[in-house]
Amino acid sequence: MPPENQELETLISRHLDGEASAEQRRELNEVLSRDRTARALYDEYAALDAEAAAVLRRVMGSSNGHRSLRWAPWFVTVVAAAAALVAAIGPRWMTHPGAAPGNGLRTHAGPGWFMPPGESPGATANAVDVLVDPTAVPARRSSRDFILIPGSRPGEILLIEVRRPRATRAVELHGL
Amino acid sequence: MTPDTTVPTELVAAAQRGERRAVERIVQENAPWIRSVIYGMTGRRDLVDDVAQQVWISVWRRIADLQDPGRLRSWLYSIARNAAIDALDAERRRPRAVPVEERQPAADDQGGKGPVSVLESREVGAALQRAIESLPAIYREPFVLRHLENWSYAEIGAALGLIEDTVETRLVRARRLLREALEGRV
Repeated sequence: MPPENQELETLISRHLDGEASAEQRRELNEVLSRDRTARALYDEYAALDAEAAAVLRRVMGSSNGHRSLRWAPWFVTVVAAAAALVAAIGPRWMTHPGAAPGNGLRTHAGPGWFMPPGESPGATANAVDVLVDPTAVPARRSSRDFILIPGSRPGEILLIEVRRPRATRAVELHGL
Repeated sequence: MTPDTTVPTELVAAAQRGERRAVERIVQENAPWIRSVIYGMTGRRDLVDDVAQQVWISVWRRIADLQDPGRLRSWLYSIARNAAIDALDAERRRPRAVPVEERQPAADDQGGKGPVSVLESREVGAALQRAIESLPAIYREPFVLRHLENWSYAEIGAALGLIEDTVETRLVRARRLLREALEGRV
């Protein structure tokens, strides 16, 4: 590409980005008024810019700003849920292993989620009981949920990250 | 969105103390451009939400490490960039899934255009999207931030750690590559 074309492209680009000085705008107007090829190039870049902005807004969602607001509840909820479970359930687990902590979270009264060493794999069936009412934290606009499950030993929390089809979504937060 | 210089130091300090409202504000104010950065880095819309999620989890874990609150934006950018790179690496290691196509607007969403022009418009849009996603990341990143977030050269440079001249050069190059890819179809 000839140097003069590169200069013109730079000038057009700067103008389209709103970064051109008054002197540069005047210079560009002068070139465009006397050079049809330059005018055509400008029109092409202007159309491309407008189309690109529209395409990007469509690809990223027309309400990018609104979508951001949805991050706050799940994000804070994940942190709050983890903190609350560690603080409230952990100590009770230490004194009453396997017992329901009494904070509304139903748990299995048997051996607990984590399989003790040497136990048969069949014991994993107990996990189904634990998962009757798990703490599911949905991450909005994402294909993931987080499920927080207290372990049988003090301070143990099992954080399960679940990928799911985008069409379904967990809605409720249980147990807090 | 304003450059780093206007980030309230107290907001970051409050977030570092674990204050919920401060964390919420940081997420609200920065989530849109973080998503744009991820898309700019990866060129993959289907990765954006999951990577953004990883970014905010990292931010929560590491907010105490941020020494200079005035550099919040560039700090967030580095986390987003690394998360995007990690996601791309992970994607390369697993079999490629075909992403679900984004919903295309229905014909009657086109403001009364005829079927031929609607089709042409869709084709051009799809071609342009492919061209944007095929750009090298160093050109796509500033292009997306400029066109989605309407950032100035100075703002883009501050976030990406580039001087303004480099930002300008990359935008010129991005436009040229897109124009060549579309071959006069716009």
